[in-house]
Amino acid sequence: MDRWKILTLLALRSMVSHRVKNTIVGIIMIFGTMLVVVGTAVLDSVEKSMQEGITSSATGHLQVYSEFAEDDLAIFGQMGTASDIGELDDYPRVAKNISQLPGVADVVPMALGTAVSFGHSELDRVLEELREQSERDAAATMIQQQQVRQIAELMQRQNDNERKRSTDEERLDDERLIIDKVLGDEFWQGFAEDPSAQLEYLDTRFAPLSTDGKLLYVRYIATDPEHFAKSFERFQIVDGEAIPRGKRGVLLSKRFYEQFVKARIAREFDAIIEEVRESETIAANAVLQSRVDRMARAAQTIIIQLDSTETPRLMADFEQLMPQVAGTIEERLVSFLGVDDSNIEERYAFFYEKIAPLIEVYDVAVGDEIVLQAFTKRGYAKSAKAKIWGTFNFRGLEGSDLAGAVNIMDLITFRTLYGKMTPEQHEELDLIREQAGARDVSAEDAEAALFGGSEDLEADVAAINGDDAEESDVFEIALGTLANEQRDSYPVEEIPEGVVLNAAVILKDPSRIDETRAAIAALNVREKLGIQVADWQEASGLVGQFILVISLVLYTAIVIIFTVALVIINNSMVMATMERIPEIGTIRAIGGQKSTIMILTLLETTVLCMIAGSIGALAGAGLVSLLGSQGIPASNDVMVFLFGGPRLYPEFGASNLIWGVAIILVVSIVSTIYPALVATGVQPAVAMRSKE
Amino acid sequence: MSTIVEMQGVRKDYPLGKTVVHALRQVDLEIEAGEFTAIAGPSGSGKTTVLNLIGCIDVPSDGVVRVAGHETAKLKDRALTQLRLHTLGFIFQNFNLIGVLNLYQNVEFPLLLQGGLGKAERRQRVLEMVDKVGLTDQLKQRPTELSGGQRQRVAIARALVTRPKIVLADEPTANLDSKTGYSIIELMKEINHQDNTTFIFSTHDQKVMEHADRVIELIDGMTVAAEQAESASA
Repeated sequence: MDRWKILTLLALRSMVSHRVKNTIVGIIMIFGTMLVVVGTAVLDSVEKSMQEGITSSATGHLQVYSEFAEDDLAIFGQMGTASDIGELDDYPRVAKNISQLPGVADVVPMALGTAVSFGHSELDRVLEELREQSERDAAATMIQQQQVRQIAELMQRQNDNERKRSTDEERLDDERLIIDKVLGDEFWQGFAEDPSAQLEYLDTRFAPLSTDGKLLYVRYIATDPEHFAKSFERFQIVDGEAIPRGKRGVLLSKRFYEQFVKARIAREFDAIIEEVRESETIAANAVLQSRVDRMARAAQTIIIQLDSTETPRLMADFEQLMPQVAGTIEERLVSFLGVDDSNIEERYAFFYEKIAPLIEVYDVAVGDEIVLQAFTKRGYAKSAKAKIWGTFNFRGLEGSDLAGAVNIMDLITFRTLYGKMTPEQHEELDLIREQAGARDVSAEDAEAALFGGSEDLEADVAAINGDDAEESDVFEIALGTLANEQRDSYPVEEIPEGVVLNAAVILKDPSRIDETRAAIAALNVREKLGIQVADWQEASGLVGQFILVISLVLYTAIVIIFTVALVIINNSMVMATMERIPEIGTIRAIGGQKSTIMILTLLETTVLCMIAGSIGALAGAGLVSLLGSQGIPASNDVMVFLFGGPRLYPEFGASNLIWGVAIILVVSIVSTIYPALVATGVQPAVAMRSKE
Repeated sequence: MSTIVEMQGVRKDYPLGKTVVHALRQVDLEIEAGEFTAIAGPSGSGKTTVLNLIGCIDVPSDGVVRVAGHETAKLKDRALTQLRLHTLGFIFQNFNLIGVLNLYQNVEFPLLLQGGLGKAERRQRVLEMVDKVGLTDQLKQRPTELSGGQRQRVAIARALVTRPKIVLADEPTANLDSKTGYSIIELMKEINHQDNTTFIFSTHDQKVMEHADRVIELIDGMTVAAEQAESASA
């Protein structure tokens, strides 16, 4: 004990006598320990928040999907890439088996997919109004006629602009002829005489020239909406209502709705005001300036939506707001949209108060019906109508584009898009075939009578035709008409019965993910369910792997700093040993064993390391606490996702502190091995030669 | 009286670059327990090498060195260290105190290396030794706060605190003024008389040699008797 005391004293004294060197080494150790403590604490917190955020939004703790899937499941995966995750062989059996496992709270059926919706252009809308109005009273279509001519004028200008860039003069000349015709008085005199002929010309020749119709890519999770809302606690309706029980339809993500469905001007305006309110200035921000320019250039999209009563009203409002600006409505609008830091708030309010009610702020509104199109695996187009019941978001992830990229759909609509027939469609198909007088239809009927069930029928039809009947031309035509007559409600018992691609498994205790995963894997083998399991991190797609990237960056930083520490500690200890050779020689001469010298050298580093490590760990804990009370703001979308919300509130545990001190201790000891060997190699004879 | 140190036909060579330095060529000597022996000779005659061999700091290239009955060439480093710790005490020309420890701690240090003694017993031994060398008032001083003579007294106390059979002193007075030097030799002599501890010290100071019971002279790495025999045969 006293021997240790004196050795420690020697080590301490030696430390003090090399204080400059030891201060430098100590600072590196403090910094390294702090980095480990803060880094691992933040990483743990990120993982925890991310897990909480993702699992309670859409993935659940585990996901199961077909073991024959071509691609990995990626619920929040990259947009636009269609992945093939196969289908669950027998969902009711999978769900029943997994639900019976201990610790499983719920199993939610799902299907991931992407559909396209062709938005209507403004011209389509005006033409539709024109048609409806002319059917009621062809003489009272002046407002609509004017709107058509306004659009034609705009197209005329676009045609001029395009001429400057394009060499395809022939096409531009053809288009110009059509536009000029629509602009001419003669055309509208003709309209008064025979609206239907002119409407046909507008529909078939003029309308295709308009380019402002918008494609909407709708990435969705099809599920049992009621079940989903119950199981995922972060899910919340923002506008409208949830999809009612047994009804078809979609819920659009609020983020998606704001970013892709909202009209461009409104979107730009929102984006600018958001940045300005976060203390950016337009004057100093080139990105915001270009947004302002884009907004002003899009003034036309407002003008074409104004009718002859709305224009003067808006003119009067502008007169009040900006009395100094004279000119046409277009000039005033462009000037209005050219916002700067001094007037942005005022104009933003004006926009939503005066202009927004006159235009369509969203391409499709809550309550509207959209037509979704998707392609089956073999490339056939399917379409389904879907009502937009409302918008939703995931609490805490409101600001995340990644979390906001998925929409919710009922499974029955999904099945239409996926290309599976409902019993009614089967019946109708049979009817059509009968009417078409196809010979083999009778044979199919016979099979149907024999086997009964719809799934069997489907398989047998395919077998008899030697082709997949679903994808035959007859069927395509049939389904095209069916889409228009699809039912808007369905019996809820149908939900689990048809195609389900994947399922979320929700656990009672989130800490038992690995255990339950193994249990499901074992169950799969035993019951031959044909499934594979992914945890939330894998299932969330690329973004789930971000945490690995962050870990990698952190660990690389830790490795670098500790390599530097290792080299520096090693170097300074070798130097210190060299200086102490006479002292070491003396200790050896008067009877100190090599082991004593080894202990002495290691002790010096260890003492330094414990002091620096404790300071570093405490400083790290302090920093984490500070971060925990302030919160680390998520600077971008991916961060929001990783943090499971707009801010991360990191916490540290004992393990973070232990890790911090343990790593620095190991590094110190490793870096002292060489100097310690040098020290033990000192011969006692040097004591005889030494100068004090 | 019994022989405590014995050297027979001892040769010691050191490699120096590509050549070999013959530090000792032929050394034969015997020292009895309790003797106060000086090893004399000019610089480079091999005094320090002889002390290194007796002090188990080094082993001979040839011949036999026997210290307190142990043939040193047959011992491993660990055993040699044990022999140094328990049987030998060292007094160096440059005092070689541990700078970061105070007087008391310096004297106590070999006892701590030995282990085995309780704190109180250790304290008693240390204080006894410090009293013997007359430095009781300076217990808390660091070596740098002491004069050369005081430092050498501390070194003597450190060498003797373990009650060794043999104390080796390598030119103990070389770095001291003559008056202090003689007082150190007198102190050593006094302890030699009191405790019957064997003292072997090297010196080239004639007046210091006069204090010795016996002087062993070295010339060119050989004891004088051996040198005479060699010259006679030549």
